[in-house]
This record gives sequence, structure tokens and C-alpha cells, in this order.
Amino acid sequence: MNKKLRIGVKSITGCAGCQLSLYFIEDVLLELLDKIDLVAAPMIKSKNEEEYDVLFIEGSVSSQDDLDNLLKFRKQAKFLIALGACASHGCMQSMKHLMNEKEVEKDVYNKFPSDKRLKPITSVPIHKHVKVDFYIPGCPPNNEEIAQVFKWLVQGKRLKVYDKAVCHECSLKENYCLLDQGIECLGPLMNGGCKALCPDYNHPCTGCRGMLDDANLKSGKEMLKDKGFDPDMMIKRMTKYNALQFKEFEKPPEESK
Amino acid sequence: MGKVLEKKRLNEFLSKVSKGGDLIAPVKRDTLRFEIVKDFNDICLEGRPLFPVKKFFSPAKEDLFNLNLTNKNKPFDEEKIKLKPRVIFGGRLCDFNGLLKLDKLFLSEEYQDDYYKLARENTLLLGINCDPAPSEYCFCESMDLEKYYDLFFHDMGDKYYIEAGSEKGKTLIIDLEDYDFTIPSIKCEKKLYTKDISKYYDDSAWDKENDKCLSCGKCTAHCTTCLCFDMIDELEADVKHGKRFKEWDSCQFLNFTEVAGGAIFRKDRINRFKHRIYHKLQYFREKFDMDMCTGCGRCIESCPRLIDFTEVINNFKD
Repeated sequence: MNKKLRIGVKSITGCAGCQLSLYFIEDVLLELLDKIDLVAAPMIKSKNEEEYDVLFIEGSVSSQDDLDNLLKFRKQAKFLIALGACASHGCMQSMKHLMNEKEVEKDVYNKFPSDKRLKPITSVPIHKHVKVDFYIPGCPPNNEEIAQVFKWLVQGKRLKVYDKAVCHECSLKENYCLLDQGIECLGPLMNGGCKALCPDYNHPCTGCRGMLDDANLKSGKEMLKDKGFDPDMMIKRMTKYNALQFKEFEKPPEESK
Repeated sequence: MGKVLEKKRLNEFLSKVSKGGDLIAPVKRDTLRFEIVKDFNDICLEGRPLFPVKKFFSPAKEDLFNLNLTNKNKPFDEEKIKLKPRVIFGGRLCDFNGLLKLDKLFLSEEYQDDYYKLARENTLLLGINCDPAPSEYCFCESMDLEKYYDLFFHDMGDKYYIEAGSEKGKTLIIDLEDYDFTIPSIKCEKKLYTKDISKYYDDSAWDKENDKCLSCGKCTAHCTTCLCFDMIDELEADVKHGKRFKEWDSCQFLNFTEVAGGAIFRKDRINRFKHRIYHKLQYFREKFDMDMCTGCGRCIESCPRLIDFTEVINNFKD
């Protein structure tokens, strides 16, 4: 490869933890500096350029500013990667999809009615507005996985996201199933790739990496009922990261074309 | 005719046969697992571990070779494993029959897995009889299990009756006292009424259990004989170093059958469910003249919805 890859990171609404995770792979980044140019990295650089071969975007679209920026970023980037749960699935900002949006806004924003920047729009992951070429899910995304993506990018390999259930990785670790211990884990419905980090420490999976493409939601609810849990609890837990995905599973959006 | 061993001498016996190697047995911590035993008092023979012994023969993740392009003479360096001799004590007949099936696959003349072979050659199998069956999901009585072990123990209260199943096994108990006894066969409440399922691919009985399937892969991860794996190449940032490793996979996942170009052969959940059962009861039999299922019931017990394929088969319409 003769030309260095121009790589950038940009934020819209989120906690910026994803961008921080990206810098945690500093040893890999150092190794790669003869193959890549980190042209935009607002958290560690003061002078940031535009136009990217690969652009990582963290955060969800939650304001008009976000949307304007995102559309601009998409034009500037040849390859666009959604970094983290907000950009991939909407995360907490999108909890509003299961509530009355107007009421939520009234409660939160009426305190500062004069500040126009705080005017929210319906919060969605970025693929609802622009074409996304690859996803790195997770809250925050795993830095090993980010490093892997960087390696694949410079090697020109096809990127591949982990698409097996959390239960698979959890079983390979021989964990005692939380569901059998009276803990309402959502592992059977959720995408792994996290090495079952939470269940490994007896903390139930809440699905920060999104639902499986073919998650069987109906059976998942039955499962929780069988195990003596309240299936509505599942909905509440899922809204933390996947309110929109959950809603679409319940009622698939009509094909627009 | 076999031999007899007083229970109070069990630890002494186990320490003798595992001398210079590792003893593997069921150990109870938060749950029961096969582990390398550090303290003989940890061994727990009540119940059976939900996780089978296959991990000692083909681990969930195993490196195969390392790549180093800076070394011109030897860019590929095969992963050499050294194994201490091992003794597995407390495995059930289903556990060891699982190995019998895997031996057919990995020790065949055509496709021999050197890592698996080494692990098998270095491991003695000391089983224990199930009396009563350790789980309500067991149905091994229907599965024609073979006497596949080096030694087999039967609990007789204050002593164990021991039977040898191999020449190696015989030498281990040569010093023990002779005893005349016939080990009773295992009795299971659950039954599988037929194993010939070839005519029933389109039977409606599949649908009910399939609707429950979450595609989480727990059944295959816990199966005594499921050892499908994915082969993964990993290259370092310098594009000079890397490795190839394998990792367990599962036919229950959507993208298991994905090929170059993106085609997926078993997109529908029901085809994946049926494939698992047909592999166990039909495809394997066509090749090796035995079932791939040992009737241990782990796929049922581990399933979050307790999906039971014996229910499907027992409810086929004639």
C-alpha cells in the first residue's frame, strides 16, 4: 500500500466513551502509523482535517446539528463505520421510542427554553439517515475488536462483525447459566463478541451489542415467563440499548420501496 | 468378573493411577464441572456436570500454527502441545461414548486430528455407573451405548465394583480382590421410541419445538459430540506475524453456513434445528453405522426453553 489511509473519528450525541476506547489501542495505533494517518481525532489532536478514507462515527442522531453534521461526514468519508452502541443501535437516547416523546421533552428541556441547541429530534442510530459500511457495536466497544478492525483495514480484508449469541461464548467459558440461578439474563437474544463479559461476573446481559439478527423475541418472552420473571422487565432492560430495534422486532417497519 | 475396591481406599487408588499426571473429575463449585483435581476431597460424584469432557480433547479455542514471515526458513511454526498423562474419573457412560463417536471423526485414517489423537492417547477413562440416572433428561437407555472405558465403577454402598474395558484398565486393577457381579444397566424415564427419522423430515411435529428455539447455541456447546469449529486466521498489524486458530462454532447460528458471496444455506431456523437432529441420528449413522447422540440429555437440560427433540420424534405421525 503506497498511500496512507486517512482515518478520522467524529462524534455526535453520545458520551464519547467509544472514541476514548479507540485511543486505548495506542500500541496498535503506534505500530500502524506508517500505514495510516489519523487525520481527525478531536480528543487527542487540536488540528483536525476533513476528507477521510475511513471515518468512525460515535453517537446517535439526536439533534438537528447532529443530522447536519452526519450528512456532511458521510459526504467526506469513503467508508463509514458506526462505532459503539449509540451509533449502531441508538442506545439510551433512543429510549424515547417506547415513551411519549413530547412528555419526555417537556420534562427535560423546558428548563432552558431559550437555548435552541437543545431542541431535540427523534433520536436514532446513524443508519436511519446515512449508509453505514460497518458496525462495531458495544457500550463501550471492546478495544481489542477496534484494534482488529484497524488491522483488517490496513490489510484490506473484509470486515466481519461477531454474530453469535452471548450464550455461545458464555457456554464456552462453562459459566453456570444465570437464568438457572434466578437472574433475568437476555443472553439468548443478544449478539455476543463481548466474550460474555457481564454474565462471566454474574451480571445479566442487557444487550449492549444489539439483538441477534434472528432473535426470537416471542420465545424469549415465554422463556422469561417460564423462569418466573416478568416479561415486561425484558422490555425495560432492552430499552437501555435497543429500544428501537425492539420496537421494530415487535412491529417490523413497512418497506418504503 | 471384575474387582472390588473399598470406598475408603478410593483416593489412594486414584492417586496411584494418576501419579505423574493430572486427575480430572467432577468438582462442585457454583456448579458441577469436570476439572483438574487439586484436592481429592473436592471430587463430587452426585449429579453429572452439564459441561461434557470434549474440552479436554479439543478445547473451545485452540491455536494451530504461528506465522512468522521474518523467519525465511521456517515461516510456519506448528503449535506443539505437551500433555501430561491424564486420568478422567467420574465420567458417565454417555461421556465416554461421546468420545467413541468423536474418535470415529478425528482418529479416522482419512482425517486424523493430531491434537485430538495426542489427547486421547494420553488419557485414561475411568467411568462410573449411573444408578439412578443423574438427570430427568437422560434417555441413554434408548441409545445402545457401548462399554467404552478403561475402567468402570459401580457404587455398592461401602465399596466399588470395578470392571475393566481395556488391557490398560486390567493392569490398573490387577492387585485388587476379585469379585463376581454384573453391573445393572442404566434405567431412564425418558425414552426415544424410534431412531429412524428419515421419513419424517416434513412432519409437523418439528414446528412446535422449533418455535421455541432462540438460536443461542447452548445445545451444541453442551452436546457431548458436537465439535464443529470455525477456522480463523489472525494477522498482526505488521502483516508479518500471525496465527491460525480454531474455535467451536454452532450449526444453530444463522451465518454458520455462509459462504463466499454471502449465500446462506440454512437461513430458516427450522432447517438448522432439523439439521442438528438429522446429523445425530441419520447422517452420522450412514457413515459410521452408529448414532452420534449418546442420550445424555444435555441439549435439553441446557436449553433456556428446554427444547426436547425426543418429544418431536415421539410425536411423529405415522
